[in-house]
Amino acid sequence: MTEDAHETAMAIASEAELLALEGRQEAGRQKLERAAQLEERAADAATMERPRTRGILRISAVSLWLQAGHPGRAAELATRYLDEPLPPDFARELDELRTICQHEQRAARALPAVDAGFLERARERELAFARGEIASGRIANPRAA
Amino acid sequence: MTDALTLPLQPGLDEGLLGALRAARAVALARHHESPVQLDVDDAGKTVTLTLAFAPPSPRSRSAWADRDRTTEWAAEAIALEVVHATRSMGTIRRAARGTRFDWYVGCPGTDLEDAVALEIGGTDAQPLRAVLKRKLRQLRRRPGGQPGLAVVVQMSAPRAMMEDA
Repeated sequence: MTEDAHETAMAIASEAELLALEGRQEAGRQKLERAAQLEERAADAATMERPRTRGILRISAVSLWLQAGHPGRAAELATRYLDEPLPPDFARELDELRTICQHEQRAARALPAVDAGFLERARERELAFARGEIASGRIANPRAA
Repeated sequence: MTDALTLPLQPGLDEGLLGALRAARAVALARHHESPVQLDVDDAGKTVTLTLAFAPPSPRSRSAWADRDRTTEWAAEAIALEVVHATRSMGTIRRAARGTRFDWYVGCPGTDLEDAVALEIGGTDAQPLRAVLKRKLRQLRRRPGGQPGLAVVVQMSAPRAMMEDA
């Protein structure tokens, strides 16, 4: 169970990485959400007899939620893990990661809302421009104030 | 030299990432060299030479990898994985989570996360390699304890690599 969930999570995270490389951030973010769910499941299933695996999977699950654009969820998960028995070095690493999540959560609140589709359309416009096609008209962001 | 960038030798990679790593490696090396090229590896004072062969990148590939810094980073990952395989017989187990102080968990065949080595990789086009290695070792030494670590840095222009256990 741990291995299956973890391997699937890694495969999906890898797809997300390639999408990000192509500039398709929103599609990549959705993949990362799925990877984070699976990695969380793998982390919960890791036994106490494998302390480093437990630590690595916990840090990975928190990191994936953060990469997926959910710093609040990532920070909550880190807090839950920090209440569990963990090797001290992994707990320190997790605590540092939680601080980053909390910082990003505060920073995200200060940013203007951007519609997910807006980013995709902007990227399409950018690619069209690179091909020498000049599109006219503004790209609307429905969530902009 | 055995081609180390293959699925059987790299259980932590999939076809998509392998293709991307190979493409970045070709573009970054082709800036300075023709295939094949000799890579001198300084393994904590001992020198090993590896031969790197690559297909000349197509115009489409050069265009896809036009971001110089990102291409150098990915190419360094590809070459570092080859170096680690050639010198330590290790392959990837999985990528490290973002926010940790290294890039990959690697190990000999049959090992898993519990016994993995933390691998930190640095890449540069032409910066002094020793300074890059020093920076990467400093970063790697702050990882969770009890875990063996290895830093590999790659310079594309020479080309040259340095590695050291941490």
